[in-house]
Amino acid sequence: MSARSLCVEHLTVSLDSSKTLLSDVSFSVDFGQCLAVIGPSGAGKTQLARALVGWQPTGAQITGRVSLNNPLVGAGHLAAAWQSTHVRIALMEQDSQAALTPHLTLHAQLAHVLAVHGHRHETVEQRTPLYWLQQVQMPEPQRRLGQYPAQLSGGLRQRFALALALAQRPAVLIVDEPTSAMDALGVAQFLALIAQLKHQGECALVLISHDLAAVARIADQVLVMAEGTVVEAAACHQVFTTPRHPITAALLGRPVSVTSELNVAGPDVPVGQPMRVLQLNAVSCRIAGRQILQQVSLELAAGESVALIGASAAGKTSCLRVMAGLTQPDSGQVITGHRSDDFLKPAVLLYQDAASSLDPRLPIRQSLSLALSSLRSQCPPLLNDEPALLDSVLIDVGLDIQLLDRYPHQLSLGQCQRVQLARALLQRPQVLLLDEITSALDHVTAMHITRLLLKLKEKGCALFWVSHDLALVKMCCSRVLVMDQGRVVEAGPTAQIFQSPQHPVTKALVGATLAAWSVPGES
Amino acid sequence: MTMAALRWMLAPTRGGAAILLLIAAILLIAGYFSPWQPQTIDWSVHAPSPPDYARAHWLGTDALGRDAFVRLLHASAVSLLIGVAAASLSVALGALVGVIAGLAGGRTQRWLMRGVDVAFGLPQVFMLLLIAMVIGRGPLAVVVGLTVTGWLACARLMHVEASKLAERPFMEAARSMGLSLSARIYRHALPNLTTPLAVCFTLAVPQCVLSEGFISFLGLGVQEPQASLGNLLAQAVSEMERAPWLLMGPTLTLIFLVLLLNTLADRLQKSTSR
Repeated sequence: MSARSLCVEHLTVSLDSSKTLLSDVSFSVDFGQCLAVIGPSGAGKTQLARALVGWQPTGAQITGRVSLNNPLVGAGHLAAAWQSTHVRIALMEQDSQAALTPHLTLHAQLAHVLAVHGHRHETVEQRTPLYWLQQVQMPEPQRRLGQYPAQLSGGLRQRFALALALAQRPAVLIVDEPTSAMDALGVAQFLALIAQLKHQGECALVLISHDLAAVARIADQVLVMAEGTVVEAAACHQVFTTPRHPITAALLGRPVSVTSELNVAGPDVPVGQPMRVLQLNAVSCRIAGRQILQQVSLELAAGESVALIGASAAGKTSCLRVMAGLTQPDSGQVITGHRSDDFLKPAVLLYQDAASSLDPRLPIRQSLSLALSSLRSQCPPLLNDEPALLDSVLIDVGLDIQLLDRYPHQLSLGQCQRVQLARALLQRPQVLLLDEITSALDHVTAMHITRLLLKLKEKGCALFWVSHDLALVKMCCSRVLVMDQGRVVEAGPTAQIFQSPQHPVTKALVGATLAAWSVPGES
Repeated sequence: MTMAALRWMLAPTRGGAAILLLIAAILLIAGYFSPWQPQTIDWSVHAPSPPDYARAHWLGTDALGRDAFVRLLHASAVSLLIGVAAASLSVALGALVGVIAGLAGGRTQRWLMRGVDVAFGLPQVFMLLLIAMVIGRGPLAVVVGLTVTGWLACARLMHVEASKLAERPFMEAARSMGLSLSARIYRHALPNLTTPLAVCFTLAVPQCVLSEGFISFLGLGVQEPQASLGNLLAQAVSEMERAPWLLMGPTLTLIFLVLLLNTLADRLQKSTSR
């Protein structure tokens, strides 16, 4: 063990004797090295990150020891120990929206951090907020400094959260799902930045991610967790080439192999005249004085699966909101298909952050039955057997019936995503609008949800994906639309977009993705 | 010393609220131990008389010879009842308007909140006079007056909170599911807005108790022979030179009640925001 390293021994976090969140976790990571923590949803990865910072759930018992550059500290008193030794452990949290202060501009937030930690930096330039936005490759950094977190897209918020973490000049940097909302270009830039940090060797890096391509490129060691325990720990290439534990093998299921498994290359649209279910006609939309959408036109047929891709802040989420009827366009039309008994709703939007799409004060059962009650006026016979309907939809999405009486905060992200999908299915939509729904999920859960969605497609429900995950797009969609600065700049069949992209944005996105796929261990 | 004792009593962690509540309960039931009734006149004393323990006039009598202690207890109960009733009604009205405006948005929001702005412009005393004229002076006029003038602040606060809530994904999901406004308010908004509601209510109760004192002091509220803290104070002021002891009871009780209610408010807010 090198002198400059973070070393964790037998870390255990338990709420009471029956519920153990983390059990006997041990690892060490040197400065200038990157440890990746992977595992299915609910494996305790985020819990590990929080325990390292010294944040503990109320009433939790923490045992084990942690050392940073030698002195050993009892794991139960980490927060105080880090404080007294002036050690900086920076955590970039998964939910970047909740982690940022909503009422302060980016400049003010960075200035706060630099006021406390500025003395750690050598140069005057490093003590200015602008420098850190440039470090994380924020587009138009000067203008962004005056903006508030709510004005940033999901990908830009993650970059800013990373800038806040880096500005503290941490000895240990823990990044929890840093790229889940970033486009392929953003991920490439993020990986370059991490590589640079590793090269500088000033901090130990802990990366928690479902993005295995990123892990394969950047990590030195990999820790595979499941249900709070470490099931496999090895060097990165070893985990990717010869996984020993079944969970690791399941996690490593490649997008490429899944493509053949799912076999979605067949005809997408039913034979005959395809029924149009949703159409945008020259839709334009301004929000807070900025033109978000410009003359967007698109059409969706029943049973079709279409993707909308583009860089961060291109207007993809706004487009979804217009399609879902949540935002009214300034000009243009949104035309929805006719309602039938099988399809009661024109379009339902599924959010990326599934947990926040569920009412925190309602148990899951009530959230679901509210979805049914909203349809009561439209189709009375449907609701005669509510429990049976709930049961069948829960089985469809692969959720345990016991979870019905829990609250959203008691579920993992993957489970919340399934509940959200179940709620959408109860409404029988013609189109499912999917906003990055798999980005926060592990590979196994994401594949399960993707399979479910593709099954729905066969039943005639159209899918409209907004995703940065081009592997997923390639696998599930027959057509791709590319958006840049509120316009659809390119559209065509998936194969054509991937083989011969025309627009510079498409070329950059596809190029960055192909580069990510061609890493060792991913071939 | 006194401040330290007070701080000890008011510290929520030491159950200060429980102690104060106990004292309030004793105050409210202590009247049963006195031989006197609020309206009974003791013809044997030279009114107003100072405290006379032999005749069980523990705080003396007022200018008409009625027992000041029993009247004070009676007045405390009346003031507290009026305060809680007026606060409940004004919070209910304010929350209803604020939440509807916040969740409905658009034209409904603009009209409702402009209405609130206009109502804020009307002077409170003028409104109270108007209401006392229309429905006559008395406890009912006080409750109606305090409700009509008190719901506006709550409406503004709840409007802001509901507007923030309406932007959260689960509220959007409920809206796009087609849940009616009333269902969204009942099922989603109210459970998620208990903390600001508790803040509104707990700020309103002591405010209403104080306002009742003010209105009755002016002579627009509770009328003789019925007692309230406000009209006891008014009588005490008119007899200030002859019977200064009459001022002590209602003044200290008013201070004590407002302190008690604020402490309870603190406890309630802590328990709802958990």
